[in-house]
Amino acid sequence: MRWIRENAGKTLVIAVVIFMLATVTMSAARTENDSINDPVTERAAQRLTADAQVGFSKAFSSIGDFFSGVVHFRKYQNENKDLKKENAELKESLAQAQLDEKQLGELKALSESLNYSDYASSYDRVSADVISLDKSGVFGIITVSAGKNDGVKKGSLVVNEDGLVGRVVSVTGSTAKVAGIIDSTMSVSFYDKSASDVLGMVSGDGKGVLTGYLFDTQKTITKGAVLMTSGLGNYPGGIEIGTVKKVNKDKSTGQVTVTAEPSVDFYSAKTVTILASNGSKESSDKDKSAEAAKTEADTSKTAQTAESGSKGSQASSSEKTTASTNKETASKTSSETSGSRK
Amino acid sequence: MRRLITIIISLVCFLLQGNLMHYFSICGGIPNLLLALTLYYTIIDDYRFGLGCAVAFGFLQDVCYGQLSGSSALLYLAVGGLMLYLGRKVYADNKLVLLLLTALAVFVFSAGSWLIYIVFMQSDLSFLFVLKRVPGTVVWDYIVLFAADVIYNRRHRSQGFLMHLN
Repeated sequence: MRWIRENAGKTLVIAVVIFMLATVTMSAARTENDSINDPVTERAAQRLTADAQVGFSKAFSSIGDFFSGVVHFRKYQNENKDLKKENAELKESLAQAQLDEKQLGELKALSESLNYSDYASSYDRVSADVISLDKSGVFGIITVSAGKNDGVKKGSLVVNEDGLVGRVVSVTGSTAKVAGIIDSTMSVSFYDKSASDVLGMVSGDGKGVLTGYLFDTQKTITKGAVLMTSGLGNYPGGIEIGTVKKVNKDKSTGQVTVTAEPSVDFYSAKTVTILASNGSKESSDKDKSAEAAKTEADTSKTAQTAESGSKGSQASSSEKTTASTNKETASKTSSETSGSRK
Repeated sequence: MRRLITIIISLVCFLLQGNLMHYFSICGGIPNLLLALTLYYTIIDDYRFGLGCAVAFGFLQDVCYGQLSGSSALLYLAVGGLMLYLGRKVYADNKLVLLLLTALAVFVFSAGSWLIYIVFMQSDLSFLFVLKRVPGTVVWDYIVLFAADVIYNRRHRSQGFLMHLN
């Protein structure tokens, strides 16, 4: 106690260091486990600063745009030229698209009649503005103007018009913090846009690009291939992830590894869309598992009937075939369902 | 009064960091205002309360914008301690020495961020990826620090002149 009183300054520094280390450890544990909520103090601090951030973001964005224009003048000039060219191309394709509109309507009607559920209908799309971006850390974190009150949850996927932006790592009532896809803690399964049977997994490699591998060593992928989210796991499918820049095949194991550049420039995103699960995905999963259980029950019944029939005397071989086919279908359905829930 | 001004300056730095600084990206590096503030209050103006403010607002920065709460604050404290020590050993009024100290501080901050990230997030983050942004940040932070140094010297010269008149 005497030492503490005599060395008040040192004691304060030691106490601060211990407090910071404990906070960092707790934060890391929270990042690994999505079910652990942010502590009350952090939520309170985030809530207090959220409104100020929104106000300052609005005030500073025009000033920032001006300075950005001055600093990146040449880049914007080239971008403008490219955009004009793209605009002309889009006008042409728009004329073609109007012709295809009727076909699209027919397809929509067909998918509705088949009760097909795509990611757009399984997730509520919440649009949000980027209110702050801090690049002083290892990876940038953007703060967006939508939170729990809008249905955003920790782990929700964030996209924009170019593709996958990242995922929500922390959420308050009115704001959410988003980590980019290049963050090495995030991984996502993909398929090749031009060959949908080529599946794999990519994650941030800690160098600003994405690296990953193909699940099947027999498959190949080419440089320039566009990667899309496969829909396996918790993330919806059909969202552009990036473009393959490098492909390597390990001669001994046959493992194909890919290096890809993300489609989205995380640091220049201004508005984003958060895919907040509206529960229909979960319910469709539940429906699937219920269906699988029902099919399994039916199968076992049919199998029992078939067995008793064969014991009795003359069971028809066609019934047995039906039973085994049903069993296979049931196991396949249940394995697919469990796969999608992983 | 001085404390209040320090708190206001720290608050402004904190708000500017998340809202405006990312527009000034050069080679991936942006000005780190709270790090510049830490350097100012340790090398140029030896003021412990200022260092405390930088650490406190660094913590707020972690909470609001960061992924690991407390990591930047811890590093500001470490850099502040190092600069307090080195500031007494070298002649910091020399602009070249100031540049070298800024470069060292940015390097220590970046290396510390990398270390904390790989230890606590168990990630295979490349050190080179982190190092790439060091030169840009050094340039920006030196510009901020140089400007602050000029303002500090002018203010003290005028105060000295007034004292001389009195």
